[in-house]
Amino acid sequence: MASKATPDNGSWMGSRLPRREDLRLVTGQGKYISDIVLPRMAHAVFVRSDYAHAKIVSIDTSAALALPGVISVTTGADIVDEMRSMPQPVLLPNLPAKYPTFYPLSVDKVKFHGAPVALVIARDKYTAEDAVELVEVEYEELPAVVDPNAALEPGAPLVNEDHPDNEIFSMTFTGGETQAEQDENDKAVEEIFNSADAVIKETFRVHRTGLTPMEPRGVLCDWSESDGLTAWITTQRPHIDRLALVDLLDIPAERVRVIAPRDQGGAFGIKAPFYRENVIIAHMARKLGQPVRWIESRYESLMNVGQERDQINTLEVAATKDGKLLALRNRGVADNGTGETGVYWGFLMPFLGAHEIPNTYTWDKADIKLRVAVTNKACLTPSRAFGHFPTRFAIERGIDIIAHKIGMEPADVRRKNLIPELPYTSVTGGYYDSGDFLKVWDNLMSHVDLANFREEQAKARESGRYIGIGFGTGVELSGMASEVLVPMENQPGYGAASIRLDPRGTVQIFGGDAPGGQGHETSVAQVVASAFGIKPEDTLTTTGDTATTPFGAGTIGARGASYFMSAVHNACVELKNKIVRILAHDLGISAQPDDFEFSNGEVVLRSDSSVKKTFREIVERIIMHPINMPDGEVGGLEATVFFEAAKPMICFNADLCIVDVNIDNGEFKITRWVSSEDVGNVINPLIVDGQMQGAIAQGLSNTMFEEFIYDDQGQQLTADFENYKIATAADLPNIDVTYAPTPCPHTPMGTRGIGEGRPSSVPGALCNAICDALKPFGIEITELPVRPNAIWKKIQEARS
Amino acid sequence: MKNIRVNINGVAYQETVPVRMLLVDFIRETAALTGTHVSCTYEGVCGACTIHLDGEAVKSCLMLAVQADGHEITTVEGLANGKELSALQQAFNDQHGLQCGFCTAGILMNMTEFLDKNPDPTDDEIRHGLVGNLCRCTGYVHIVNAVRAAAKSRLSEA
Amino acid sequence: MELVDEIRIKADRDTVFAALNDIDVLQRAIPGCEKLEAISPTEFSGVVVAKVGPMKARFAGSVTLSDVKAPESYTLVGAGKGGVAGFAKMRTLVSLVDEGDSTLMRYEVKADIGGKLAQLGGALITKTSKKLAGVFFSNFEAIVNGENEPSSE
Repeated sequence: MASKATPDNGSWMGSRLPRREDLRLVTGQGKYISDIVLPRMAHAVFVRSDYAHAKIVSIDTSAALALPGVISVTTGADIVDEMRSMPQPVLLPNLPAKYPTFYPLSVDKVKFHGAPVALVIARDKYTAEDAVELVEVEYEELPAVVDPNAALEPGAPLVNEDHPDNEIFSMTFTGGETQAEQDENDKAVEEIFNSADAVIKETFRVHRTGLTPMEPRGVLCDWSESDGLTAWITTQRPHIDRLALVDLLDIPAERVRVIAPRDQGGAFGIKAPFYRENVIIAHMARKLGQPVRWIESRYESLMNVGQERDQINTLEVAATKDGKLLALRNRGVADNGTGETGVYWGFLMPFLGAHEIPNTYTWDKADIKLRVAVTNKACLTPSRAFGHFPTRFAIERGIDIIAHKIGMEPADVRRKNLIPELPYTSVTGGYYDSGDFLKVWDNLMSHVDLANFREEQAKARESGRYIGIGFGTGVELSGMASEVLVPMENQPGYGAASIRLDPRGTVQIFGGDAPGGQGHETSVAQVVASAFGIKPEDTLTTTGDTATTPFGAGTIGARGASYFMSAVHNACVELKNKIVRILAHDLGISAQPDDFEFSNGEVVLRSDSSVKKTFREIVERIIMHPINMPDGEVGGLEATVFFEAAKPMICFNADLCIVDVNIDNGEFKITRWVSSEDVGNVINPLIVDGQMQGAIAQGLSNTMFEEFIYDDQGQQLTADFENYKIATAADLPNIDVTYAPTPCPHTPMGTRGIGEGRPSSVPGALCNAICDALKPFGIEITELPVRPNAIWKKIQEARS
Repeated sequence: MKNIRVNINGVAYQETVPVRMLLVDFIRETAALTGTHVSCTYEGVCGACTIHLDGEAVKSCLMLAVQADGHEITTVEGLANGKELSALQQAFNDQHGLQCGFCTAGILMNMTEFLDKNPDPTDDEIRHGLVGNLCRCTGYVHIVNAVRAAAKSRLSEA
Repeated sequence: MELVDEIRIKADRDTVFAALNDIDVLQRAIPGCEKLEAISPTEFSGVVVAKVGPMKARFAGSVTLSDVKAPESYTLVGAGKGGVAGFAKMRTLVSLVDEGDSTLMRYEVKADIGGKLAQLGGALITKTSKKLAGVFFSNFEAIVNGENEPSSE
């Protein structure tokens, strides 16, 4: 693979290097889970419930078992005594909540349309599917709970009978730890609202939607008595999955190996939870003594995972008549689904969403409360903009609505209230480490002449054309420090990397995370090449295999450039220092690490460039010929480094959107989208551009098209791509990504982790633009998805 | 069961297959060419299974293997000329037109035929040509850039 | 799904009501009905084959007559399972208005569909239900008036 881009001053940082992953992916040589085949591999297909809520009266597996080629048919009753149930400590957040007890297959009752009821394993996939149709399940229907507010009413049917009610989690996010402190805070907030110049209150509803990736889930398990369990899983967190399998199936930890396939077809959070399918497939592989593979169908995927958002937020904002934001009050209700998913249990998303409401603005005070209800729907699974897609929609719309009330430009209200100086701690205790929000904002505004736009807009209105401009901002997590991740998920936040230098002067890197398209192999190659002065193609990165990589919590929460690559960098520095020590000793000089420059495959003394060794020579010497070493120094060049940033870190973005709305039918066209990003120092701008564009597109697709619909009986009606529509290239605008970075002071390369929360500012920006266009009608959008017929109806109402 | 003869990427296959077997399953499992992917439940909506049947872009999840009897199939594995990538494959690499790669094979097969028929397309035409291919990662911006660049490169070579 | 409609049958009300309770008439009138048996005077069980869009399903289920107010009205409550296609439940109120030589039959159906059938979409289900109801009533009228051959389409 020839490099198209050349390094800048010997450094590959900031280089638009085309990715090394591409060669195998454009030639069909990728290895995804459904491409992995083992001898004697059997195929598993689940029998799933047609009912949202029902008792399982009986399951007749005889006809299925009689079909030639069927190996086993397993029900919940078969496995209750063969494994531990959830919850397990390794998969529990450190938060008080009502965690449901459950097994991989439904026992006694089914709790959502699509719940797993039985598992058929057969010699081929087609036979397995035929056998599934022969399994006869008799149900006794129970009333389905499909509305979160109704679920919270006393006397509502119970989704999880081991709990007294359907409230899985509730929390107050402001004021302090004690009830007394919180009450005092609430009173203070009430006073602000009573005396403020301007107050608004709106209820914002965001539908059930998420970011189902193009590759559904899959699990392949292989058991041998001597080596234990090897499990290939589509997962973002192989090391955590491994611990979960150990605990649930009682297998000695050292004999479980989890491998996230090198190629994964996207994840976006959906592959971050620990799923029940992992457990039963592993269990059956062990029981049957042959490999078992389950590949999720798209139908199963849309029935079971990828459902997120689904919140109702009643938001109040108080401000002065000059547009100074004073206080906010929010009451959130989230629809959790059943809660039967490890690590997140559904409620962790609205939890973070409530925490992030204050966003990028200064507030004197806030009163934020959340209730999360379990219902007879699929459990929420994380999706990029984890939990805060709905709350960010609310706050960004709230800013515009109060700006309209005061009679100020929404852009001016934003600028006036953007946090002026960091570090900053938000009213919910969120720590924002560094960045220059005003610089990012001003950069955004430099791409549009707002005064000129207003003139254009006025002229357009005269001729019956309705154009509008909208803004949104977002502060996002840049990785998740242990001090955040331990309370939230009972897991560490450090980044970890192992670097192994080869006697031939090339480098192998091992990381415990599991990317799914973010280009880590290329970015890591650039970091390592810059550090050692070698070529990116002289490196190889391995991720996702628990047997060969250091422990990591996973590819989640923008941990890439923040934690993982920082660990890579620091491991390189550790080895560089050792190389310098030994080289200096060999040369008979005393030297500090910085006295030598690693570039062009050589290690050169800066003060005298004739004094040098090739990288390969010195590396080979240290690994292969470790004699005449400095005192206390031993041969070998490998390092494993764990990186923890001193403080939790953030990144920041702002969007502007210009739309053209057709008032005759409510259709709108996005004519311009510009984003302004602070993503710190960038390793590969080509990759970061792609991340930003992809995230914004996902936000638009969620806002305009995708919707999971359950009817009043809990029947999920949108289980294929015809009905659950994902945006195509013709539905989306071009997206301009611009940058106004501030290097992060807490990472060795000044990089920030990016991409996780990025879609969150999109619904606000888009709806703000539409409302701005339709200002003469006084329309305020408070509900998603935003569709032409809904807009048209609002215009009709306004006109009558 | 039926005996069929199919040519894939210049290689002749003779296999006995169940009549109900989908062409995409034949390609992936019988021929073990896993570059072609399945992403929707055989609805023909996502486009990840797109191949060429006698040079025409076709969704292989919407066909039975027996329907391909006697025909020539090209999959993504057959796009490159030995080690030389096609202009489109190269452009996708140069322009970062892929992230996870799961939709990529289908897009390459579709756009190869698209460019054969529309050698000098506008961005709008490219976007409309892509409606049969869903991508979740890229937001399509770099994909459009890649197709545009490939068109240019093919025209200059012509 | 809700369906409300009315149809005029060219027969007097007593005849119509009797026919509505006659298992033989019902089995011939219901489109796709393979079998209908009386378990009791007010409960029937049977098998109906129905095609909804691309899906053809064999429904096994039962129907109970309740709230019988001869010859004015009754309520039918029924449930059927269609294997992998899904399941259906319905509650129908049938009321008859005496018009001398003819009878105005009004029916109000409330149905819940579940499983893969539900995912075909409400519009298709409503359209199919209307069509099947139409076939039922034209068959029913033909039988009541002694004409021949009801269709199953």
